[in-house]
Amino acid sequence: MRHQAISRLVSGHARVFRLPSAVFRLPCFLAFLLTPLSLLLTGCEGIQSVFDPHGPNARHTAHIGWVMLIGGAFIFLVVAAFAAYAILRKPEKRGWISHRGFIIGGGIVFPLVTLTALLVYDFRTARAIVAGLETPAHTIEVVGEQWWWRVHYLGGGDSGGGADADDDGNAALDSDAAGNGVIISANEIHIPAGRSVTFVLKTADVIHSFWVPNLAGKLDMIPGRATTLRIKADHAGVFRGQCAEYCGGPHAKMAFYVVAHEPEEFERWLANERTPAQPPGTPFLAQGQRLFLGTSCAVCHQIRGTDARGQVGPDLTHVGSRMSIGAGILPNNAGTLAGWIASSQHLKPGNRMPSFDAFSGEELRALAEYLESLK
Amino acid sequence: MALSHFTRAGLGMLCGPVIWGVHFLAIYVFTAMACARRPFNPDWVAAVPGMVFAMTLLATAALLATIVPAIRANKRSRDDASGFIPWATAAFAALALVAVIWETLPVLLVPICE
Amino acid sequence: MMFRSAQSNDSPFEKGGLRGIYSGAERDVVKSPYPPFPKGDARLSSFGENPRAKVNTGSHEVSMTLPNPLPRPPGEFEKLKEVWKPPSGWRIITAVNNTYIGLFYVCTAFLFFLLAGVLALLMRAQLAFPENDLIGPDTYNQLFTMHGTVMMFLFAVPVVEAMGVLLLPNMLGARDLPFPRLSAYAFWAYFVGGLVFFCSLFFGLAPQSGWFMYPPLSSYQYSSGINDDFWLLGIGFIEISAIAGAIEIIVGVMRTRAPGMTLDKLPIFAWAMLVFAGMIVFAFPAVILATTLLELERAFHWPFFIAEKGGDPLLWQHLFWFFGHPEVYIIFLPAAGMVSMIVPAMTGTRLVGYKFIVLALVGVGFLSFGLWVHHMFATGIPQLSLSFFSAASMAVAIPSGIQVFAWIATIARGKLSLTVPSLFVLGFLFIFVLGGLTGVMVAVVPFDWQVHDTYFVVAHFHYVLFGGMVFPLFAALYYWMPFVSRRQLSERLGRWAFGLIFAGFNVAFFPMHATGLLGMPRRVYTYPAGLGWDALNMVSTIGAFTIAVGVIVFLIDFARNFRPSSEHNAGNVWNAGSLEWLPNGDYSVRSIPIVTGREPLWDQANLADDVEAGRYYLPGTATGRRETLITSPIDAQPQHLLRLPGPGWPPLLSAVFTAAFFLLLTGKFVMPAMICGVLAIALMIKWLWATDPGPDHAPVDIGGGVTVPVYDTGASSTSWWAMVVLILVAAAIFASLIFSYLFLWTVAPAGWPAVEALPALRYPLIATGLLAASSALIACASRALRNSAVWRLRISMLLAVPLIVAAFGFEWYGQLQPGLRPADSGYAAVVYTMIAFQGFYAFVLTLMALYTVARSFRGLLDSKRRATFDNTMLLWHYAVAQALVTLALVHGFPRLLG
Repeated sequence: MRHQAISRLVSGHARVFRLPSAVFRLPCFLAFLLTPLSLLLTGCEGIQSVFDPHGPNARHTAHIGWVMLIGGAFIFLVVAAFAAYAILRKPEKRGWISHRGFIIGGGIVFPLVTLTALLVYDFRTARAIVAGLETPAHTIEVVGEQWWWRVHYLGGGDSGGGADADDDGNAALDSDAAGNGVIISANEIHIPAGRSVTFVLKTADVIHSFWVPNLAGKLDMIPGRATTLRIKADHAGVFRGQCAEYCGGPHAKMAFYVVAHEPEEFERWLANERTPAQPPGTPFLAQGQRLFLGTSCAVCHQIRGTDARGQVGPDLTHVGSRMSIGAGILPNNAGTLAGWIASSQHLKPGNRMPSFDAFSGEELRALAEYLESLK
Repeated sequence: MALSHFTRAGLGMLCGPVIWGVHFLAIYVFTAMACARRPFNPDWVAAVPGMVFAMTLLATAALLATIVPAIRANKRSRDDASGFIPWATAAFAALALVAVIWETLPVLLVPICE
Repeated sequence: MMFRSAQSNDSPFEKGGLRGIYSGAERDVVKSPYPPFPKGDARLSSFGENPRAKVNTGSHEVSMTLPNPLPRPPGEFEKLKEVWKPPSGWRIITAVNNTYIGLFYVCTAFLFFLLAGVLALLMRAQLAFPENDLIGPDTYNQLFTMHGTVMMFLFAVPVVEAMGVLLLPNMLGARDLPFPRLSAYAFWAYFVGGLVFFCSLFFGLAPQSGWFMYPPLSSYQYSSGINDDFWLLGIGFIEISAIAGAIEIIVGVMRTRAPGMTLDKLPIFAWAMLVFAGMIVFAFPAVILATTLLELERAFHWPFFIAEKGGDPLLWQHLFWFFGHPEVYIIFLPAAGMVSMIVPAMTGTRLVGYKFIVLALVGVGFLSFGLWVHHMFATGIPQLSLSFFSAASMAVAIPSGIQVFAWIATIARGKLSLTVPSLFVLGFLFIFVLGGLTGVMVAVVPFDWQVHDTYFVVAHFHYVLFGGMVFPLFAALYYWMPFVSRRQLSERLGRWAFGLIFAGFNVAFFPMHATGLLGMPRRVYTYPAGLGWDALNMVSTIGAFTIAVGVIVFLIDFARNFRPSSEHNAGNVWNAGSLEWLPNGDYSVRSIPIVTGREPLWDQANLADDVEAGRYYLPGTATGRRETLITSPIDAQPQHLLRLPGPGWPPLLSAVFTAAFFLLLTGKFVMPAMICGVLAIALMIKWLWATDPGPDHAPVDIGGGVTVPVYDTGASSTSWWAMVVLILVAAAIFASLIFSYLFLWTVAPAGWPAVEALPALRYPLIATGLLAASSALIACASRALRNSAVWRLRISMLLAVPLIVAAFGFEWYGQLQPGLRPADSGYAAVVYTMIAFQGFYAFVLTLMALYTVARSFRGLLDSKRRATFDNTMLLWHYAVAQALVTLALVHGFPRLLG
């Protein structure tokens, strides 16, 4: 279901708004009965919904969220009822809530009890999230840049996790500079489903925040620091994420996708990703490659296996295999690629890539098709 | 120079919140430093719970030492006007006590530096 | 009989009660067994043979003699009116009466509310549809930055401060605030600075890094234009204006209350404003320091926030939110105070749980300083640290709960008449409770990881701020309109305005909870279709425009019915019980009442007539000038008469030049800026010159046998109090700076020098000697002044000046010796900043010392008339203490480590 919604999103056919069928899920139904918060129901399901968890971290949060939403709605109704009672009930009958005892009971004792309980729940949930997952199978470094995501696959284990993340992360960057088979990608993160994964989060410029609501809460990417986030996806699927800390300019257009594969499928994907780019198979694609290497494209972008070694923008070695371009803002096909090259400043104003409108239509098509062929 | 009525009453009333503030800063700063220094000196992290408990004991004792005499003074006072300041002293300190105890709870429940 | 004002006259509470307040009249005391409520009133019966007044306390009547007999001498009232009359015509802008400045202030703040509201409408228009291209990212980013900044700094804080300036003196039974020209200065600085700041938007020069201005985005690498400098300098100096107002309010509430208004009878609004002002004193310094550091980084590349150079962007977040979280309560508390005034008036009954509400206000004031990391849950701070803040956030919910239940209990006890103020109060209750509940939700760390920086948080804080502050403000505008205007606002239009604003608000912001939970982040100029956000955003936009219609209805009502007048105001149409509803004029009240209960107009029968007839204290002007009665801080016993200044140009012009100084500096016009700075200081000196009049008038009889001096020095004078509060501000700035030093050390210890790389010990030792000597000279000058040794005073002060300047010079030079430069590292930057602060104080103290000596030469300083000297002395000793701590930290700490 969600997969279809996402594919509609990345294929440019947005779905229309509707009240979700999730009304019939129990907590949603309860909320519907208890509160005028029925609008919140739309929170039950959605591509980027907090209440549509697909991993243990997000599930813990969704649980505590539901408990608080329902509890909060209940408390609100009680307080509103008291207020109505204070105004509408006959004066001689409402005297019992006009004393200090009412203030002490409602304003001190009740919050003391409820909030103590909530605090314990809060701390236990936090513990479950922070320390609950098993040792990660993979470590992936994500570097936020204005306004896209650079992704390094650092290999197995928890090598980048914990306190020494910074050192390991930097070591990985060094080996990347040497070109030793480190897998680099952009704006799309592939993970094995059912396995816990460590993300080492960094930034190349300003503060960004890494957030995939279906899988986990957000964590900031802060200059000079490496923060680590462990997450797990329950099953294969595609999850949308977005930068959640204002980072200037087109911050609104800094999205990405997390693709969870079955573990063996993930290994296959990884093996493919490790290979250099395919050579162009047709003269037309070769023309595209020549254009890419001969113009300023190669100054900023890298295509492993060619002379394009630019490190400024996203690595395009396997760009054709990605779902979206422009940091999650457009579906990926030759048409959108051509549009992006010719008018990226129109599609994502302020982004670091200039609009290359000097290409002829034919050249643009060759370039775009070449890129699309880089599976 | 003896403290004036104003200074004494003012300091008395603010005792509770100030003790809370000192406790809060102490446990926060110590935890932050312990976690920041973890790579160099892991012993500090192990010391965090003990340190927090010790601070909480101290703060609780100080708050009780504020509350009890204030309640007595309030009982002794003849009218609203003179009872107000001891009442406020005790109430502010009681609120501070709740905050201090709540802030100690997580030590039992939450991993320290994760 | 002389009423001595020494602090020691106040009796300690351990003795279990107040000495008879008006012991001045003890000879007349007839201890009579009056009924006990309000307790302790019997002593008020102790006034001579004057007419008696009845104190109605509900079930009992107490009679009380009044201080002044009738009939009043002819011309007394006319003289009082004459003295307090503000200038007429366009020169009204030079007025300093609190009612005029207060009104200008409220109106200006409301103007900014409208302007920032228009920005919000533009944003909502852009977000109505997905992929809308009405507004591009650059403009949108400026819009949301300005919306937040203007609402917070130019509307919310100023408007509540303005309400304080407008209402407090009357509510406390004072004639004016203790420093009228300071209020005028604060207002005009804000007015000019605020308008110019807003206009930056029309030139595309508005800041665009968000109202929170996180570096590195806001620093020179990523925001190179002058946009963000506008924020730093513009807002930086509006913060100074807020602090000026806070000093005024603290001293006003503590020292200008009507006799008998002990702390337990203080109107709740005054309590709220006291806590508000106290919070400003400790919260604003953090952001003043933060803006200073960021401006230094932007202008001179001192790397406080640059990670590669041993700075840390999180330092900004700590400093900013140490201000930013209390800020929310700074805005909310006065609004809650207004509600606590309106509810009793609308229900016709006393507030239930007065003491609990005081507990709530003060409790929030403190606890809110333990919440700042609440905004940084997603920055990867250790889990245990986050939990402390989570717990503190829960604790702050208790006081808010107390207030809500106290209001409901009061409503239950009385009979709520559903007037427009009541409607807005009920709307406030409805919305604020929801906002409070979502506030508890975002205090839960894991939940916050999800909703932080999403529209859920946007919904939450609009529920808290719009619900918690704007609704009470509208209630207050309707409620207090009869206090400032000939006519009330219309009930009919008011209901429409309320209905539209209330419905519009909920339609606009309730869906945002869902939008946020569906994953929509904040601060996005557009969003793709198909994420489930489209319809919700459209609904929000419709709601926003509905609010706008409601506000327009209010404006129509306002235009039709607002006829400002203090003398002929509509008066106590609500039959409320607090003192601002006494008959009043530019002079505030005809005579200053004795307060015996929390709701004087209910408790004391005939109070209004007696006050108006001049039967209470100070029924005219005793010295022929503007004056107000200064009372003791806890027991409110009359202490002395403070003579107040009248209208004049210097505060206004000085404010304009101060604003010009900062704004020209933003545009890098250094020379014109300096000229404006010098003019601003010159005008301030001109205005100060007339202050500190000395005991040139005999003690005056204010009635009832009470004679008070017209001048006081030392710890009982208002100027001493103001200076102490100012020193608290300075100390808070310095504490933030020490925090910055230690914080940078924990994150980047590598930047700290080895012992060998520190300046030689002789530099700090010499500086210490110079500082100590300068302080000793000032102490010596103080003794000389007491002994009227004029030349010893002058020479001591003039010698102290070069010493403190040289101490700064030595320290700076000493740091340069090992080759340390401010732009080298975070360490270097913070060390040089500490020393620069020393230099700043040396500069200010030089001016103050020269000013003091000049007054001595003009014969304006002697052993009695020494407030000017005392202020200089206080700041001097403080500055020396701060410099010594700086030296110990900068030279001692690295040695301790090494």
